[in-house]
Amino acid sequence: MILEGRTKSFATIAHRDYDYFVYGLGFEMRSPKLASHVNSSTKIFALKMPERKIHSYDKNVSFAETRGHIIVTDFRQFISQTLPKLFSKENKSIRIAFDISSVNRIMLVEVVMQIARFCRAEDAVDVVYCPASYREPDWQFPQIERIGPINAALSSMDADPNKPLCLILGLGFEAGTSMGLIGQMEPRLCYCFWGTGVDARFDKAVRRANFEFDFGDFNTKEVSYNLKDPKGSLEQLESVIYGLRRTYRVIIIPMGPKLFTFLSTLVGMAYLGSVAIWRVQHTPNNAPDAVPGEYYILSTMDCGLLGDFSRRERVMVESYRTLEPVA
Amino acid sequence: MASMNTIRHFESFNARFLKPREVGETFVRPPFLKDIAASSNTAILGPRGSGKTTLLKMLTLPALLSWTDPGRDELASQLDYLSIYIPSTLTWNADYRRFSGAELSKPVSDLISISLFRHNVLFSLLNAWREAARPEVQKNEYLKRLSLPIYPEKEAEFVRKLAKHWQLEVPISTISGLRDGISERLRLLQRLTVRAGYVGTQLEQLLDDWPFLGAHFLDDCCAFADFIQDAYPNIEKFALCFDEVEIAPDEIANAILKMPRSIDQRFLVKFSAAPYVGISSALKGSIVPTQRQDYTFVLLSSYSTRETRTFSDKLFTSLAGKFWVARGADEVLGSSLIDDDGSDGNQIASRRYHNAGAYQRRFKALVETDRSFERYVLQKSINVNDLTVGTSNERAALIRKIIWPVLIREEFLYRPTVVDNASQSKRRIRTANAISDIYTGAASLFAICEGNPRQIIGLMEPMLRAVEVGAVSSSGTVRRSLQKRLVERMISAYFALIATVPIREKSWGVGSLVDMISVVGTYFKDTVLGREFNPDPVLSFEIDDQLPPSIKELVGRGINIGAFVLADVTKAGGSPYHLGDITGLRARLSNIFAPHFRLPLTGGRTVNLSTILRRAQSHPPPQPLLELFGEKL
Repeated sequence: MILEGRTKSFATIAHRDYDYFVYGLGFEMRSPKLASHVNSSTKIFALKMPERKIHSYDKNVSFAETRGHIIVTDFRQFISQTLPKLFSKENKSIRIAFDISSVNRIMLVEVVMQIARFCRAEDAVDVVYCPASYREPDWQFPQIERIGPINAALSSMDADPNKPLCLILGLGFEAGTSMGLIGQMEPRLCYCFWGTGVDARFDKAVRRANFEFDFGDFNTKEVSYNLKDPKGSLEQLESVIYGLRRTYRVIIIPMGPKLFTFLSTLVGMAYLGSVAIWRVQHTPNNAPDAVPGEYYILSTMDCGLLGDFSRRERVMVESYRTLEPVA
Repeated sequence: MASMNTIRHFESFNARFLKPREVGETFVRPPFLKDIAASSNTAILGPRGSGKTTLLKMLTLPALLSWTDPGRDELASQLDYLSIYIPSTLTWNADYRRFSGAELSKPVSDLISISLFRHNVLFSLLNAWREAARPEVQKNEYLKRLSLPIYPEKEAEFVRKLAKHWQLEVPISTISGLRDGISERLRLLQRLTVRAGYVGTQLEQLLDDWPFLGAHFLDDCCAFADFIQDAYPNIEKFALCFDEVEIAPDEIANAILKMPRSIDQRFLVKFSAAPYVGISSALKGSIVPTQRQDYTFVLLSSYSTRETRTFSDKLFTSLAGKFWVARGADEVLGSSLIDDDGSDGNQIASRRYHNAGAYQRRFKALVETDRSFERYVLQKSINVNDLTVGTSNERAALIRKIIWPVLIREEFLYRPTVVDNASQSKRRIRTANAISDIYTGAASLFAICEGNPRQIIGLMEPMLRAVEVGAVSSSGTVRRSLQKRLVERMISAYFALIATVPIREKSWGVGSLVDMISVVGTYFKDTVLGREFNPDPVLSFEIDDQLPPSIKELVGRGINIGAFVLADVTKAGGSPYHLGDITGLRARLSNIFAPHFRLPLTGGRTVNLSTILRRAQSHPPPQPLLELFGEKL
């Protein structure tokens, strides 16, 4: 589903001539970074995150207001009305970019899925991501408040629940969370994906937060993926899951870089109904800031393949509506 | 020689993933096996990893057949029932299968959940029959009484009878056909569940369209018993063994807990659950399962110290065989300060009291550095130069009861530190350091694991691996540094697990189970390492009635995950224990936290949990960090 993926300098984003640019307006310093570089003729939607007046929140909001960004406060309305409307103009293809750096994971998944439902083969869709520069984590055990499917569509409603569980964890540097999840969910098999290639200090921190990938008695496998190569990483993730679906009930829990949540969403859409994407909700505490790094990662999407998801979704919903009683 | 099979079994610590035959191959007999196997209704209560699933699986024929222990035949000869092992699974819960769509109404969810459960019971009944039909059962002198051979000429007739009782359509009249019929029904239930979420199917409509949804699993069990007794007069009793009841949907857990009062006398009911079964807290009055009246409760965390040690030693020996290590735990892990106290005549242990013995040196060192202990010693007329004075009883009353507080204070307080130059010395409280030596050695490590098989295996395997490759100390024991590193890692992993336990609401300043453990552990630590020497520190708490329900529920969850250990409620006198009612019970922190909070590996005084939590509201304790002692893992 990704035609091309690579790193680019911030300045190059202005040359991509987007009609629309969507980003998350939150407290992270990196939040408006890419939006600040896009072409001045681009219509920019700033999805307002739940208000947390920490770090750069006020500054970011002020920036969005000054630059005339359309600040979206009703996300549901944006998803159900605004976004479909962008794709509705006949005989006019659109160029749209979605910056996943500072949106939360629920929004990320919803926007990607909705774009997939409405985009046409002739449209151009980019997903962009600005990795943060390294900061030392606080190493406290974050309290998990909730864990479950990220939304209804990616909840693997068609999978066989009696199959043994295989977890695919996207690791970040949330201290001990992977160990806790594995201990709690007791999967028969667990693949631990961790992103590399941005900063060696990140790699070290991820190892440290995840017990050097030594999960003791559990059957785990460590897989590194290259954050700078989303296309290759997607192929890597997809090939692992393709082989597992037959034997296991697969649940992907993307933590760590948002890019992995994006890749997981694409896999969930490709294997609609049989692979679940779950989300871990932590107790809000002193969330760290994310300062933008030196480049962004571009994923150019294949709109034809994205559209397949929409067709599969319609067929599946219909199959459940038509279940007949046994005579 | 350890076979590859054996290795694989130990690597899968969770008996849930193992077939009963595989469980039997590596089973180490724990205390209580006899109580669990008795011909009575039994509730096996224990936290994660305490071996509940293993014990229930061991009552099945394949497990007994593969168990090579000399005690097997005695146990087998006493069984007067056919065990039917029924695993619990989240997939009994309709809401879990729904995945998406709108939330199901409670009546619809309950109806489908109970039917899902019913069909899993049918699977288990069928499995038990197939296992009892194996020729090995017939060949075993003690188990042949429970044999149910399936004769080819009778198979079709048997299957048709059962299918009729169970209202199943079978593609072919064989046992496999019967299984297929059940599988097909489960697939239908899955689709009905998802559909109900999408289109909002009503209860009445479901029952009209799919009449089998109204059938009850108790009737299926009775029909099965009728059928078996008709075909095989040798079988008189059946034990329905329900595993992990705490993860079953409430309606099903409720049905299982009340079963002894609703099923006929041919059936025994045995179930395993975490000690705090939430649903039973919601049951009212006479339907709450009660110790003795309904079930014999077996609490797996209530081994005596000696039983724990014996079981741990046996498990260690069994595990060591896999690594070609033929030595006992003491020899491999080294001695510990708490091996035993010499009261039973153990010469090595009693030497610790002698002049220059381990205990005597520590008593003397503490007197020299801790004024409050010096005062205590004077007041009690203890001669720290010779702790052997007096009879064994006197020593028990005076010395042995304070050994742990002395060891801990001497280890962690007032350790002289040389600063600047050799002539100046300063006393300070030791702050950051890794696990102390007092928590190493066989006895301490086993005390930390408290007989929990999963923890013992998890901790011992890497140590035995080190022995296998010769990475040991000059005395041939596992290096203390490795022991300490692995204990630290185990605690850290345990905190990570505990951080996944959800909390309903923050109350009394407690926002998570990790918070509560930190509060309790810090309170206990302060009574051991406080300014004044305390010969009887607080090391347990009462779940008192001043606590709000949300705190009690959190304590319950802590008990279930093994963070808190209940006092043995099953042996308490007075009113019988009501399952799920933890108010008024005594609990303590699991010993796994002792090295982190610097606590004795022994019992202590009790205070109300409300007292502990109130104090912490004005003095919140520090949160544990990934690397508990500030050192890289």
